[in-house]
Formats: sequence, C-alpha cells, structure tokens
Amino acid sequence: MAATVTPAAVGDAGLGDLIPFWTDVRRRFLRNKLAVGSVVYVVLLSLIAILAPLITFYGPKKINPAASLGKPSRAHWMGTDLLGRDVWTRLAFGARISLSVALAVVVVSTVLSLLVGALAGYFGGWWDTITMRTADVFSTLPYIVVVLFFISVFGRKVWVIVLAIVALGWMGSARLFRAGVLQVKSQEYIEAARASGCSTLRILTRHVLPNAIQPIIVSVAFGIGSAILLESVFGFLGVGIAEPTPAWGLMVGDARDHLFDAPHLFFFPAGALVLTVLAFTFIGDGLRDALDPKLRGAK
Amino acid sequence: MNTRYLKALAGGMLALAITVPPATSAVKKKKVTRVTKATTTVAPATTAIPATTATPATTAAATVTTAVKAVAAGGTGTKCNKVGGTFIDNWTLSTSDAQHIDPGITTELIGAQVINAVWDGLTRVDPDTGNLLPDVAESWSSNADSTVWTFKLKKGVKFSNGEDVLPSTFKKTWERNVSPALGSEYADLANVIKGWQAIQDGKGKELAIVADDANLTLTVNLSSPYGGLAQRVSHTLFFPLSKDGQIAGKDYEKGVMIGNGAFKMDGPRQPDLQTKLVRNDSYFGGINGHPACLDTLVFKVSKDPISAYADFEAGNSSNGVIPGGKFAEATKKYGDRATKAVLSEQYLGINWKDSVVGGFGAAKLRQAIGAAIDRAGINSIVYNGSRKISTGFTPPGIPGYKAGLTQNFQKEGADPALAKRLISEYAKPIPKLTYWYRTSSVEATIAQLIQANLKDVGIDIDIQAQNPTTYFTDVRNKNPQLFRSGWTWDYSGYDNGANQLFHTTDDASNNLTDFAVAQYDQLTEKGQAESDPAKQAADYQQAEAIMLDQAVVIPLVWGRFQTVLSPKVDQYPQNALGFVDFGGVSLK
Amino acid sequence: MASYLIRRLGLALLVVWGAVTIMFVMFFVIPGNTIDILSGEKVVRPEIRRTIEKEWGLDKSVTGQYVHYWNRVLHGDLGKSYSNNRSVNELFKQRAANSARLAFWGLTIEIVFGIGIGVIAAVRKYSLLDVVTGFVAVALAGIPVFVLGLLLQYGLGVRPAQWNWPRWARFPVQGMGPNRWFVVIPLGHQWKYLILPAIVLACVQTGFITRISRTSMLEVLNADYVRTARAKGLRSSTVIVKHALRNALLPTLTVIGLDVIGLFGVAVLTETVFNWPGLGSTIRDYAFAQDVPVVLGLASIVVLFGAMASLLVDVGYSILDPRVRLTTEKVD
Repeated sequence: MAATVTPAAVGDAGLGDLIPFWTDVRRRFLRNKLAVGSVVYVVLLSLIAILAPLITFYGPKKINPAASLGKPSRAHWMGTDLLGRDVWTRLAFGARISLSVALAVVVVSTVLSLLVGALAGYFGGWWDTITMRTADVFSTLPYIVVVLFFISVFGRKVWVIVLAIVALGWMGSARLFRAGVLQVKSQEYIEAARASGCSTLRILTRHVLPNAIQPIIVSVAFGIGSAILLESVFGFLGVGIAEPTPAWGLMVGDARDHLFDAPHLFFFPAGALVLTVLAFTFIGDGLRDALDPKLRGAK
Repeated sequence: MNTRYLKALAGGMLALAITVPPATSAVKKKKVTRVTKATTTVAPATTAIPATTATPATTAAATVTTAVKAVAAGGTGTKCNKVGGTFIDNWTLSTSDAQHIDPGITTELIGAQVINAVWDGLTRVDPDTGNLLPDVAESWSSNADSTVWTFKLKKGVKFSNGEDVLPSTFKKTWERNVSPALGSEYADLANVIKGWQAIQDGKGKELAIVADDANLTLTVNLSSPYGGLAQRVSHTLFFPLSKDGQIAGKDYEKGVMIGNGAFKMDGPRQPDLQTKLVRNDSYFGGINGHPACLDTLVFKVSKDPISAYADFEAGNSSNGVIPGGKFAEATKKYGDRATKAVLSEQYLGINWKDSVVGGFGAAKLRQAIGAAIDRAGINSIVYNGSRKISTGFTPPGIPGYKAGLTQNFQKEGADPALAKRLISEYAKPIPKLTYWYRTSSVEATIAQLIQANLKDVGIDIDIQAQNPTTYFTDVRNKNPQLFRSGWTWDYSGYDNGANQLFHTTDDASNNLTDFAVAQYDQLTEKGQAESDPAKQAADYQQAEAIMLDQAVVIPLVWGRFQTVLSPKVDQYPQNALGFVDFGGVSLK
Repeated sequence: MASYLIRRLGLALLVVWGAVTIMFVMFFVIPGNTIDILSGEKVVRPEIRRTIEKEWGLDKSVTGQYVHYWNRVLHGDLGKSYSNNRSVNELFKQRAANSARLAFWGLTIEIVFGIGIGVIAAVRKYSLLDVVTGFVAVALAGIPVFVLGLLLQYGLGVRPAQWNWPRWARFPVQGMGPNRWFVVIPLGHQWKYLILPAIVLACVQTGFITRISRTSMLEVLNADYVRTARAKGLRSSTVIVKHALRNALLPTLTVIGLDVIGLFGVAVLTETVFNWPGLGSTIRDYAFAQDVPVVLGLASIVVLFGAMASLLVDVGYSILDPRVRLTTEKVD
C-alpha cells in the first residue's frame, strides 16, 4: 500500500548547492512568528541567567525569616518563599543551574544518541545489537536505584545529577534516532545514492540524518523540560541537588507544601519551566518546517 | 517509642522530603532506642535495660512484693457516649505501613499502635501517670529478691475466637517470641527470665515459667533479680497469642491473627493499603471495662502526608496528620482537639569528643552556638509557632521535671550579643564547622535558619544532607561536629532521656554526642538506684543541669501532636507518648 | 521470523542479566552496612553479627554471593526482605497486578489522546486547535506529577466533598478502593479510583506523544504518495488513516515502547501520591532502605518486562514496515 515512497525533499536539496538552501531555511524560519518569539524568549532567558547578579537585589541563598511566604509585592515582585528568600532572585539564579543542567543533559545525550542510535540504525548488525541492548539495560534499571547509586558514591553535586539524568535519558533519543534512520535508510533514494558511489559518511550526513532528525527535534525540546523536571522529581524523592542551591525543579517541588496558601511559589517557577519547554518546542517546530521545503506552501 | 528508620524509609524518602511523622513533629528525628523502642511501656521506676548488655535494673528494693490491688474492671476507662460507627485512621500509618504487626516481632510505634487495638497484655502502663494498670492480670507480686514473680489472671478472658487466655497461653507465646527461629529483634526483652539463655544457645526450648491454668497463676522465675517485670510484660512482646499463633513463624502476620483485645482483624492485612479491624464482642473489657465503642476501625496507609491530609480534607478519614507548615491552617479549620503536647524533644547535638567543639574547653563555644540560634524563629517558620521552646532537655510532663536547670537556653529568640561575648571569651579561632541533617525539606529549612543565625555571630557552618536510612549509624560512627536529632520518650520517666542519651556506657548506641562526664554518670546511676521519687528526680535534675551547662546539646523545641480530628469524632483518648486508646474512641 | 524472535529473546535475557548484574554491583559500591539494616541500626554483638551474616549468606565473597543469588533466582526464589522479612515473590505478586493495571490505562490514555490529538493537530496545522493542544500538552508535561496529582486531588476530590456535591461527582483522593477487576477492566466503582492516577501517569508522556505524532504525521502528510492518494480523489479521512497514519506510527511506537518500560516499573511518584501500591513505589521504598534482595528481585522482574516490551516494539516495527526486518536480517 505504501510502496510508492519517494525521497524526502531535503535529500534533493542536499545534493544541490547548500548555500541557497540555508538562506532559504533562515528565511522560512524567520517567517514563523511563534518560533521567532521563542528564540527571543530563550535569548532573554539566557541573558537573565548570565546577568543574574546584576538584575536581582538579594542573594539567592540569603534568608530572611521575617519575610517568610510573602505575597508578591514591590520589594519582592514574585514574593518570597518559606525562608523569606526572594523568588525572583532564585528564579534568575536558578535559570543558570537549571538551564545548564538541561543543556548539558541534552547536548550529552543527543551526541551520545546520535553516535549510538544513528550508527546502530544505519549499520545494523552487532553494533546495533550491542548498543540497543545496552540501551535496554539502562532504560530498564529503576531510576531511583541509579540516582541513589550516583549520589551515594559521588555526593549531591550538580554534575552528579547531570550524569544521573544523562545515564537515565540517552536511550530515548538514541532509539528515536535509530527508528528515524531505519525508516530513511531503506528508502529508494538512499539505495540510489549508495549505488551511485557516495561515501557512507556523505550518505549519513547528507541524506540520512537530515531526514531522520525531526523526531529528535521534538525529543530535544522535551528533553530540556524533562531534565529540569527530573530535578524536581529527585528533589521530591530526596535525592536531588541539595538545598539551598536555587534550581527551578527544586522550587516547583518545594512549592507543593504551600500550593494553596502561597501559590506564587508554584506559579512563577512552573510558569518559567512551561514557557521554556514551549519555547524549545516551537523553535523545534519552526526548524522542522524551515528544513522541509515541502511545507513551504503549507502556511 | 520510636518511628525508627524503617518508618522513614518505608514511608520513603518522600516522607522525609516533606513530611511529618504522625506522632510528634515535622522533624521527627527519633533515634533508635534499643530497648523500649517499640512500644509503650516500661514504668518510670525501672530503667529500660539495654538489650544487649542485659544488666538487670537495680531497683529491686523499690518494687519487692508489689502486690497491686486489682481494680475490678478498668480504672481510667473512657465511657462510650455512643456505640457504633466506623473510624478511619489516616494518622498512624500516614507515612508508611508498619513493617510488622505481629506482637512478637514489631519494633515500631506504628505497628504497636495497631497491635494494641487487637491485643491486651498482662499489664498496661498508664503513660500519663506512669502507674501500672492491671489488664489481663488481676494482680501480681514477687518474692523478696525479685527473682520469682507471680501473676494472677482475670477469669474469663477470651480470644476473639473463643479460646481461653490462660497462664499457659503466655508461657507458650513467650517461648515462641524468644525462639531464635523467630528471630525477633526484641527477644532480648525477655532475657531476665530463666531459660532464656539456653533457648538462645539452642540448648533448651522452655522458659522457667510455671503455668497453673486451674488456678490462673503464672509464676515466672528470673535468672537474676529484676524489679520491673510487671512493667516489662506490658510490652507487645509479652502479649498472648492464640494456639495457632504460639506455633506460628514469621508468616503469622500474613493471615488473620487472633487477639484478645478490643478489636479483631476482619481479614488479613492488606500491606501498604489498610488493616481493617472490627469490634471484638468477646472482649473482656481491658482497662476501660467495656467493649470498644466503634464497630469498625480501619488503619489506612498513605505514603505521602500531603495526600493523606487531602484525603482527610475530603472527609474520607476520621483523623489525619497535619503536614509540615500547615499547623496553623489545619487547626484553624478543624480545631486543636488532638494536638496536645507529646513527650519529645528536638535538639542540635554537638560532638563531645571533637577536637574543636568537644570537651570542657569548648564550653563557651557551644554556649555561644546555643545563644546565637533563634529558636523562636525556627518555631514560627517550621512549626507555625505551635511548639514550646525547650528551656531544658526533659519536657514538662515528665515526673520530676524542673524548669530553669541551667542559665543557658532560657531566651527563646537569638541573643547575638551574648553569643559574641562568649566567642570572645572562648578566644580561639573557629574553623568552619560541619553540620549534618537527615535529608528532608523541613530539616533543610532548619539547617539554613541555624546557618544564618550562626553566620550572624561569625561562625561558619557547612550544612550537609545525609542519607536518612543510615543517618544514626553514620552519626554514631563518623561523629559530625554538629548534628540534628530528636528524642521521643518511650515512657514518662526522667531516666528514659537522661540515662540513655548522655551516659558513657551508652556510648555505642544512644549517646550520639559521645558525652562522657564522670559526675554526670555518677548522678544518673545514683538516681537510678534511688527508691524515693523526689530524691531520684533531684539526682536526675542535677545530672541534666551538668549536661545543659556544658551545652553538649542545644535544645530547640518540645513536641506536639500533628493530628486533626473530623468533627464526627467524639472521644479520642490519646496519651503524651503517642498512643491512642482505640478501645475508648467513639463517634458522635 | 522465528529465528529472529528466538535470537531477540535470547538477547532480552542477556539484557536482564546485564541489568541485574549492574544493580548487584551498584549495591556493593554504595556505602552502608547490611548488618545495620538487618539489625535495625542497633549495635550487635559479634557472635550475633556472624549468625546474621551466615543466615543471609553475607559471609561469602562478592562473587560467591552473586552466584548464590542467581542460583536462587533460577530456582524461582527471589529471596526475602532484609528489613521486614516479606517474601519478594509475594511482594511481586501483590504489586505487579496493581502496576500492570495502572500502566495499562495510563498507556491507553497516552495512546488514544496522544496520537489522536497529534493527528488532528497535524491535519489542522497552525489552527487554533493545534496551538491550544500544543500548549496544553507542554504545560501538562511541565508540571511535576506530584503537583499535578495534588491539584487533581483537590479539584476533583477535596473541593467537591467540601461543597457537598453529589457522590457521583466526587473522586476518591487516595487508595485502590474495592480492588475489583476483570483482568484490567475495573468493575463497579473501581474506575473512580483508577482514573486520577491513570490520568496523572499519562500526562507527561501524552504531551510528548502528541508532539511526536504531530511531527511524524506532518512529514508523512506531505509525502508524495499521500499527495498522490489525495489527488486520486480518495477521501481525506481514508488517506489519513490508511496511508499516512501507518507510516507516521513508527517513531511514535518507539516512544510508546519506551514508555511501557517506564510505566510498568517506575511510576513511583503517581503511585506514591495516590497510594497505589505498585512496583515502582515498592522498589523506591526498599531502595532507600538498601534492602538489596527486594530491590534486585522486583527490579529484575521489571527489567524482564522492559526487555520484553523492547522486543515487542522491534517486532511491531517489522510488522509496520517489513523492510526493517528484512534489512536487519540481511545485515546480520
């Protein structure tokens, strides 16, 4: 039924001149308002993270019991938490930690899954067997055991948490990559490219990856969100980054104790978290649309 | 009593991360009491005997031939204003299910709570007064040197299946409970009974007990003099088991266990879900003198106190636990009928053997730490201001309590000026100190408050979250300079806190501070041997004053129940040790 | 196909062995003394210590214990708990069904809503519906389970009760309720107890699946063969269901496959918040206690299921796209 599969368009573009292609991509991306808005948001967020000490008026760990659970006010425009710490300050400093944790996780696991997943999907055989079964091993380990192991042995440091999240998360994107590559590599145009004597590397980078990348974009966008969320899960379970480190996940988690009497504790960090995930999702969508000229007329 | 590490971990880290164990406080840091850890009851006069050393108490003189006049049926009983109804308890097991509900095996307060609803022992300690009440036993006495004890049982006491509760029932049950095959952690509680050692060594099967079923007398021969046996047998380990239980192994608790208490099991317990009990109509009356007021009693299990509280708020349970930080809100909404003081103390411990903060030389430094900490602030932030600031260690309510034993700790708030003066008198440079706490958000909050207070007077501390599972073992072995801990009294006796926590010989287990001061040891030993309660109290007070003057602990707050009751609940008798007498609980 | 299956099954067992071995090693590396756990943190006399060690086989070397462990497991005995002596086999029996039922419904919600919304969003790309569902999907995935659970508990359980809504309009806050089932079908009032945890469990992944299916669907919808089919005048719904969906399912299936593993074993938070005693929260409880036999025992079962799920996904692939199997086998 689905026998008449034809090459996706990027494959064609890849064969041609690349410069007009990227110009095209950029132009198409810029036309997508949601995506551009999201980029602006991410840039702004990064600026907040970088400039945190300059744009906040309290220390992120500075407690002030007298101002415990203060509602948003002029002095603390996002209110204060149980220990009287300024929520805005902690959010800004938390952006540093949460974003870097998320980025570290996403970068490491994407690279890892690219190497593992894409190669496994393309070459198949023993490499596929070994890596995918290793992925099975990791994805079946109860995460609590893994995290407990990491913090017991290395302590509750930020990089340890990153390591734990990577150890628990790389399999997902690896599998997605592999699935995408599997789907693409059996198509006629790849066969054609192979037949015409293209090198493996060229086939991979020019034809396979661009076509298999779309689920990965979604996975990266969600990966950033889930990495930040995992912080809160670990915090909730008592194995996360230790207080008083400001981190979004921890802030959202701690807010549970005061969900109804101090909703601002939940609202601001959770809002920031959701907006960030949304932003990356929209950027991903925009990138995908821009990369796929077929969709040009769709909007 | 204690909620123990098991509670913490079975309740999961979750419990630790956000929670409040039911009995006491948002930061229950109960350490492991070896002897009396599980249950109610060892009376004030007799010291709980460290299980591993098995030294008999030395109070024999005081208790020789204590013939207690039998109070006909029940003494302190709560009458039922209304009979019937279902009580759903979501307080006892609100952070985790009990590990065990077999009386011979249980080690936790929460397990003992369930067990006390299903069984009655020979005696029961009225924990408020410390008086021993007759329960299944009608009276008891011992010979002159307290080596032979005779209990006279009430007539007509039956198990819920109609089986009689006879002296032989107790003998066989105890033999089962101490047998190595069962491997009960509390088998040591019976180590004063002759024959115990032989059973442990595999050389015998029987305890030296004469059970005269015809005359309803139980004669217990001891291997050495022990004056506190009548109190001791009120422990769950000594509760009678029916015939099938007497020969049952560790799996007994998986089925329907038969008890002689106010309630009986309605079916096997559903681990991690609930344990359902119904009124035992053949109950002999126990200390209340009447059958249970309730038809049904359900112990519901939760693993997350915040959800458990939500469940209570939705009207699905008759009582509930107040999650940390919600005390004011909850008591405003549901009243404070069940939030009385509980005999417990939260403190900051300091290691006596440490080269910086330990020893007599660092007294000023420790006192400075005490003066710098804003305990009123901790109370208001962490406990919604519901606690009483500890001005000493032993809480009011313990017989012999005296206020103002020391000059330290009398001011509720911080006294930075005093702290700074003490530091300048200490006159040595203070390195960064290490502070340990058992991971939880409440503990993290306390740690940061203390850290800020100390920073104000120029003392830097490094706060470190520790694995809750092995926390006390780690504190014991690795001797952190400062650590958070707490103590909940096992019975309302002065010695329970004083002797067990700061005596040199208890160094290995309960004395987390490694406090070792000869004068303190002598005074507590003297007090323990004292028969006159007033003199005994004076000795203990003096000992405590030494400990407080040295500021080897910084007392923070005394405990309080975190319990809310549904408006439908009428009577809810609970004592200051954390026990609810469910036989006397009734609904409107 | 048969040889492929057998080989994959063998590999799945290898995965189980690997995961159990890794966990075994991890618990040996984690600091903490088993004796302390077994003795309830009290100080034990050396002779008692030796007895305990002997009873639990702790006097053996690491490899000795490892061999001993497998010997037991292969004889069908998963051991018993250090801390409360419960048999791991029994724990498994009690918890696995709870986990499986919750996972089944969580997964069903994920698949139905995830793929459904994803497909609709793709077909109506950039419509209001697309944007709104996109936002909701991400927002739900961005709220931690334990907060979302509490919101649902208050919104559907506590508040309706406080406002005296009729019984049918209230949901239970916690617990398993009557625990009446026909395999996975809730009977009587059981569904009320099931629905909140199932929704919460599904939420995070539903968002992800929505986005993945939307993406894959979009890609396929613009493929030439779909355009061709449309050009031929086939009804739009026929095209979507018959031509597009099938091809778009591959990446979605991958994600769902991963989820089966996750849902079955590690629904820790949902199980905790709703007090639904499943494998995840049980493993968590015992892991903190460093109760190695229970964790190893239950986790190895979870691992086994995970490996099977992954196998099913691979088989699913080959059914959806026969060329996958062919090529895989060819390369081998």
